[in-house]
Amino acid sequence: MQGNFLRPPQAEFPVIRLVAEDGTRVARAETEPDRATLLELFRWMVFGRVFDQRMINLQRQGRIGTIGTIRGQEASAAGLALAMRRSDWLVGSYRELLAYIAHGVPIEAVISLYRGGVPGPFPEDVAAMPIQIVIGTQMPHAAGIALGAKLRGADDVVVGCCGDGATSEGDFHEGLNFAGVHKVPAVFFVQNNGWAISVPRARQTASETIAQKAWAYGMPGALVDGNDAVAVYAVVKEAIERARAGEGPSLIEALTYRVGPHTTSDDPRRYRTDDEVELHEKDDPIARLRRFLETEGIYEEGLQELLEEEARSVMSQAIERAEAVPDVTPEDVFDLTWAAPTEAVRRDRERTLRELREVGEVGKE
Amino acid sequence: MEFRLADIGEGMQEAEVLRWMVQDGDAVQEDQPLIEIQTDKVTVELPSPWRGRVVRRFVQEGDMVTVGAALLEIATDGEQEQRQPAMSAQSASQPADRAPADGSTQSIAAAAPDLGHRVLAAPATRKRALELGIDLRDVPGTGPAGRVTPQDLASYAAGARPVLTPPPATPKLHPKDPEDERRPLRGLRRVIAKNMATAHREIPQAAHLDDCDITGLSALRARWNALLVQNGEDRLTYLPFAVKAACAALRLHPDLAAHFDGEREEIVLSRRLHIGIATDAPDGLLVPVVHDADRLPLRELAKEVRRLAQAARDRSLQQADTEGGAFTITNHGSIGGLYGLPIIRYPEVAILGLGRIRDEPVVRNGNIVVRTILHFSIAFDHRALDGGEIARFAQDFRRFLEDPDQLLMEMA
Repeated sequence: MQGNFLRPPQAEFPVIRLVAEDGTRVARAETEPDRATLLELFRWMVFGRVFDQRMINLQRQGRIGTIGTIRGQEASAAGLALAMRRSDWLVGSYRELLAYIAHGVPIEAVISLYRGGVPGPFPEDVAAMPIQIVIGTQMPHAAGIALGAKLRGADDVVVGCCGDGATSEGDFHEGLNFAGVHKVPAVFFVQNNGWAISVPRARQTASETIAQKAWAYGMPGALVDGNDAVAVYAVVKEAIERARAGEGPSLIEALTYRVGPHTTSDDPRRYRTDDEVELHEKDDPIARLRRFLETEGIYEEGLQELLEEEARSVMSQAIERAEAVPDVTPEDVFDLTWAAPTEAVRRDRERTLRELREVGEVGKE
Repeated sequence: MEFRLADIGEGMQEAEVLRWMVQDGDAVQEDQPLIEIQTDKVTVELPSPWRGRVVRRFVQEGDMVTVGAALLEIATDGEQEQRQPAMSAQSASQPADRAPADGSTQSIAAAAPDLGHRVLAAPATRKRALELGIDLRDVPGTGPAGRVTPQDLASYAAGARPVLTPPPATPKLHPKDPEDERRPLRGLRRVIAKNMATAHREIPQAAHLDDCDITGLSALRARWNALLVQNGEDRLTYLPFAVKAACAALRLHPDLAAHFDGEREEIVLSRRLHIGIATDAPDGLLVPVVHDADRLPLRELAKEVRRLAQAARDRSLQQADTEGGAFTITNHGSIGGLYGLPIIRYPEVAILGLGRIRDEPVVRNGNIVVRTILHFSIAFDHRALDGGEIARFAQDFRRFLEDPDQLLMEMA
């Protein structure tokens, strides 16, 4: 139909890329990482690869529960985390585990969570919310924490992360809408890894990009090559500095690919072809950054192997510490949820423990 | 140290052992793959939690193993390599969940999990037991895995003996002969058994048998094959022609290309003609699917059928190759059998069986002449379809094969 009034959705979001797949530089940015940061990026990405495989192994050995995989998404996670200050809030999900660790959350705390343990609070100087499993619910949290920072006059920025699947949730809309209205210091970072368990990106939204959704919330958006760690860092850095300067929130879509399964519980061969995975595996973010470091003359022979060795050893120690954390007790559920329990909570606690004793669930030793 | 099978899915009960990747006595590194297993959802390798040496393996390839069962024993560095038998798995706390040494595979799947002190019961039942002052451990459970149901509790409280449901009677097998071979249902055989039983149980199936005179088609095929051979291409079998004729007939009778959705009481008609081709593969029957069979040029169709058959034989079919089928054709006649009565591929509603092709004496214009005859059968789901529609479909299928000119006109 030839119409007079309706305008088509405009989608002018070129993919921001500083380093091409073959490791050559294609553009420069003011906010791009310096030499030391480049090496840190590489170090964390290599760690992420080792961490991912080790966590899958722990799950297969029955030592932790179901775990989401991050293989292929190391550049998005590391680029994001290193562009933040430790006092900036990280509000993310199970797909950002590497970002949490690079941001300063101890590895054993993450492992301990997946053992069903209580790792104790995150360190005082690391601003990070608990790792969210429910899809998208962290986005309103991020908006709210950011409004708090603004009202307190703190210069901390809040980074709310989710995946492409979460952008279909009402929470995503509510969080971003609220953030836009109140012009809060937040950065919303979407790792678009192509798949929400078995739902492909094409079935997730009719929008050409997720980045363009920013416009509807009255905030700027960016579409970045999520496998280009240099570009992810530069784009997030710009968004964070802008938010810190009081100019409000923004939305970043990082285009990446989930090479592994959604979690250790699914078989992706049932919903996508091996050919598709092979195609994406060729664009390995670690290999890309390594080639870039080589062309820039920063890479030293044997560095990756050294970092892998370091990561393996760090992981082994962290696993040992995590496995030493005592199992959760029924009491913990009450004692760790409320700072000061109400009368009703105290009654619930007593009754629950009594009933568990009766059926031999506690106090059996 | 014993390495036990963990619940590596979400609520997984058991897994099948596909392949050992280590042998007794092997030195293993931490995280080295030990064994490949298959659950309902995934096929995975389980890596070793420890560095050490394999003392013994408790399960065999093909075994079904319940969660919690020991898979193997590893002497970790610093541990004694040879343990006393008393310490070994055979006499450990859960002997029932381990494979016997004679290699039979029955005991693992059959063994009930060791529940220890824990009684299975719903929270409401526990609460009621507390109120009644009854220790649930005293109540015989009749639910799954010995779960104590509210009825069990009520009858126990009333002083009545619990009503035990007798186990379903299993048909008597013929007397045991030591020469007999017991072969467990595993892998593809197990899947086929499940699917066929479902189809047989669910579908009120009826059949229609007919034959058709393909003398004309046979001559046409011979001419085409002469050309193809000249060009160094593969010859055409009858199958692609039959697929094309079936597609043309399905376009006239779309009700046969459908799925029966009993739960929603709906018949789901397929818009696209993805045709399953039953294929006799080494591990058993596989049904790869030719997608959009009606739109493929004949030679492309033949090529795709060959590719799928090859992939089925060398076990390289991908998930996409077996999905989306709307109607299935089985060509048992290429092996033998005048007619077959195939089982419908659930939840499809019809299947076409191609029987033997042979020269037969038939009556034409009062004379006995020799013609080339194809025998075929159609099995259909009588919930979704009736005999009249099947007979009309068969008439059209027959017409297209008997008069290739009509088929050519139908081919895109």
